[in-house]
Amino acid sequence: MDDLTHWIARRRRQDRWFGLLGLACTLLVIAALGLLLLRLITDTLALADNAPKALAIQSLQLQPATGPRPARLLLELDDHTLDLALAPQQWAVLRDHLEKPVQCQLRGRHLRLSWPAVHEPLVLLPLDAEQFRALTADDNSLGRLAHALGLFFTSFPSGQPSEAGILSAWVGTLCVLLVTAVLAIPLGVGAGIYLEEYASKNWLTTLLEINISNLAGVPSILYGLLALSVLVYSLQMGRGILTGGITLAFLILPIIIVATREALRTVPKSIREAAYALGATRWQVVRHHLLPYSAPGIWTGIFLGLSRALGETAPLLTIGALTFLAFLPPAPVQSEFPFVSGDWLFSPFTTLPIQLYNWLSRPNPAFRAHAAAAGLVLLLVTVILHALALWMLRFRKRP
Amino acid sequence: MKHLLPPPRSTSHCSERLIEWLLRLAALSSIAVTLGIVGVLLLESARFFRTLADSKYAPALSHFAAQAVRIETADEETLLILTEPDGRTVRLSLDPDFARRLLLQLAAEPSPVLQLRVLSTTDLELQVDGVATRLSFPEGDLQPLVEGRGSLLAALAEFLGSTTWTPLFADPSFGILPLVCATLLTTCLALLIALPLGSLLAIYLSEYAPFQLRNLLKPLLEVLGAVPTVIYGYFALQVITPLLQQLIPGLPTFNLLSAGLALGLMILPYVASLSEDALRAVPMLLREGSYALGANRLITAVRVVYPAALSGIGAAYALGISRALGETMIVAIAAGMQSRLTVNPLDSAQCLAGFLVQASLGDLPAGSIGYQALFAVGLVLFLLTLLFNLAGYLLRQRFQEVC
Repeated sequence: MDDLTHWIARRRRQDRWFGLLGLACTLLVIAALGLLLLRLITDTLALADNAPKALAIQSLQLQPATGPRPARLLLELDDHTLDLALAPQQWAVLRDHLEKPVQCQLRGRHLRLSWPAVHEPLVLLPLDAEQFRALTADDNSLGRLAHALGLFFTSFPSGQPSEAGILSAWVGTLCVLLVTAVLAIPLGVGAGIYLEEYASKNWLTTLLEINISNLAGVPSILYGLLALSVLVYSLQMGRGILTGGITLAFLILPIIIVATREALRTVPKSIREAAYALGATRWQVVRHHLLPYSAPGIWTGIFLGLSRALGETAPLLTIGALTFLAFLPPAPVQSEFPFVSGDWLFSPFTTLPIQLYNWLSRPNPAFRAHAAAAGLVLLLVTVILHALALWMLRFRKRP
Repeated sequence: MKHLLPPPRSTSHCSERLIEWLLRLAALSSIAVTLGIVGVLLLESARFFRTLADSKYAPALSHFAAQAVRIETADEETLLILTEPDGRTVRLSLDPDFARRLLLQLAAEPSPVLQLRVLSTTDLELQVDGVATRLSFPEGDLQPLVEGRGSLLAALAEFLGSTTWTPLFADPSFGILPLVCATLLTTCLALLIALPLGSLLAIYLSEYAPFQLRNLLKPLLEVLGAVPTVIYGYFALQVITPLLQQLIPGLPTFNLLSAGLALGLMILPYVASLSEDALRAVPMLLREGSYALGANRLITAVRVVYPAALSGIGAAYALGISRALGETMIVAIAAGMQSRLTVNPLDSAQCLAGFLVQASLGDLPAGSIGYQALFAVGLVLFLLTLLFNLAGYLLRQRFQEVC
C-alpha cells in the first residue's frame, strides 16, 4: 500500500514538474518578445535626441585664431553661453555673414547655423556631451519625442539623421499593398471557390492541392527572382509599384486560397442542399449563400495575407525597389483630361521594411533609432492587421 | 408536366459557364506561378552553367600568331580580320571609338606586334605591344574561333565541388559549398532551439495549460509568428549579438550563431502552433483510455498523444525547417556578407539567401554571369526547401487520414 502511495506521489510530482517546465518555456518565449519590444521602444526614444530644436541667439562673437589656439565662437543663448572651436573655413564663413540675421538649430549632437537671407552656406558645429546636456536639460522630453515622431512620419529619408523619415516608405507600402489586394483577393478567393465547390476529384485537383501547399512554403525571395526575370526583364514592366504589387500578390495567393477553402468547408451541407433544391445554379449558391456565410473566414485569410505582404522585404529588394527614395509617386488624379493617371503604378518605390533594412545596414549608429522606430511602426500595423483578422472570426456563424 | 418546368435560361447557363471558367483560371494561376518559378530558375541556371562552361572550360581556344591578325578600315567600319591556320578568315567589326584609338596607336608604331587570345564565346583579348585590351562581341560572332563549347560537366563540378564563392571578383569562382554549408549551419542552430522548445510548448499548451491561458497564448504565438522577419534581423543584430558578445569575447558583429538563434525564435511559434494543432486533433478517446489505465498527464502526453500525432508533428517540423532554410532577411542582416567555408558558428559567413540579397542590391546587368548565378543559387534554395515542403505535405496528408 505504501508503495502505491509513493508511486502516486511520484507521478504527481513528475506531472507538476513537467507543467512547470512548460510554463517556463512559455515565459521564455514571452520574455523574448518582451525583450524585442523593449529594445524597439528604448531605441525609438533615442529619436528624440535627433530632433531639431530651434535656439534663439542673443549675441554672437568671433575670436580669431591666435597661435596654436583655433578660432572660437562665443554664442550667447537665452540662458546659456557656448564656447565653440571653429575650423578655418567655418571661421571664414562666419566672418562673412556676421552682420546678417542668423538661425540656430540643435540638430542631433550638432549646432547648425544658417542664414535664411543667403541660401547656401551653413555651419555645423559639433557639441560635446556636457554642452548637449546643458542645452537639452530643461526640455519637455515627451514633447520633443512627439515632435521627432511627427517629423519622422513626414520626412523623406536623408543622409542626415536629424532629417530622415519614412514618408516615402509608408506611402510606398500603402500603394504596393493596394495593388496586391486588388490582384490577390479576386484571384485567391476565386481559386479557393473553384477548388472547394467546382472541381471534381481528379489528377488536376490533386496537382493543384500539392502545388498550393508547396507554393506556401517556397522561400519568398524566389518570388522576387520570378518577378525580376519575367516582369522586369521579359515584360519590361520596370521596377515600379505595379511590379512590386504583383510580386507580393503571388506571394500571398496560397494564404488566401487556403483560408477561403477552410472557410467554405465550415458551411454546413444543408445550406448548399437547400439552395440547390430551390433550383439555384451553382454560382447562385456560391454568391448568395456560401460567400456571405463564409465571409468572416475569408476576410481573416485576406488580412493575414496582407500582414504577410506588409512585412516582406526580400522579394522587393530582388526586383530592385529603391532603398533610398526622396520623392513620392505621382498623384493618381490630375487636373487635365482624363483626370486619372496610372503613372504612379510605374513609379519607383520603397517600403517600410526596406527602409528599415537600409537604416540597419548603415554604419552610422544614429540611424539605429530610425530603424527601431520604423520597426515599431511595422510591428504595430502587423499586430493591428492580425487583431482585425482574429476579430473577424468572431462573426463566424457556428453550424 | 412540361408547362411546370421553368423556361430554359440559356443566358444564365452561359454566364454560369463563364464564371466556372474564370474561377478555373484563378485556380490555374497558382500553377502558373509555380511553373514560372521553376521555369525561370531552370532556364537561367542552364544559361549560368553554359556561360560558366564557355568562359572557363572551353577546350583548345584558338591562338593566333602575329601574322594572322590584320586590321582594315573600309566604309567607316574597322574590321579585325583573323586568318586561321586552315586558311579560313573571320571578320569582326570593332567598336568605332576603340578602333580609332587602336589605329592611332598602330600608326605611331613602326612595326606593331598584335596578339590575340580567345577568352570565351563573347570575349577576345587583343594585345598590342604587350598591352592587353578585352573586347566583347555579340554572342555567336566568335563561334568560329572556339573549337567546341565548354564542358558543362566541368562547370557543374566547379559549382558543386569548389570551396570558394567569389562571383563578383574579376576572376570569379562559383563553388556553392560555402553558402550551402552556412545555410545548413544556421538552420541546424535554429532547429536546436525551435524543435525542443516548440514541442514542449505545444505539449504544454494542448495538454497542460488551463483553458484561459491557452486562449491567451495561442493568439500571442500567432502574433509572434507574424512579426516581419526584418524585425527579427534587427533583434539578432541589436539584442542577441551584444548579449552573445558579453558571453563570448571576440565574437564578430556578424556571426552565424546569432542569426541561427534569431531564426530559431522565428520558426518557434510556427512549429509550436502547428504541433499544437496536431496534438489537439488527437481524439479525446485515446486520452481517456490512457487516464483510465492510471497514466498521469505526462505519460499520456508523451506515450499516447505525442505518438498518435507524430505525423502531424513531423509535418510541423518539416515546414519549420523549410522556413528556416528559405528565410532571407535574418541571415542577410546578421550572418555577414563574406562567403566562407566554415563549420564554426562563431564565424561570419554568407548564406544562400544572403547572397541573393547582396547580389540584387548590387543591381547586376541582365545576362551577366553574376545575374545568372543568382538563379543558380535560387535553384539550390528551391530544391532544398522543396524536399521539406513535400515531406511536410505528405506527412500532413497521412495525419489527416489517421485522424
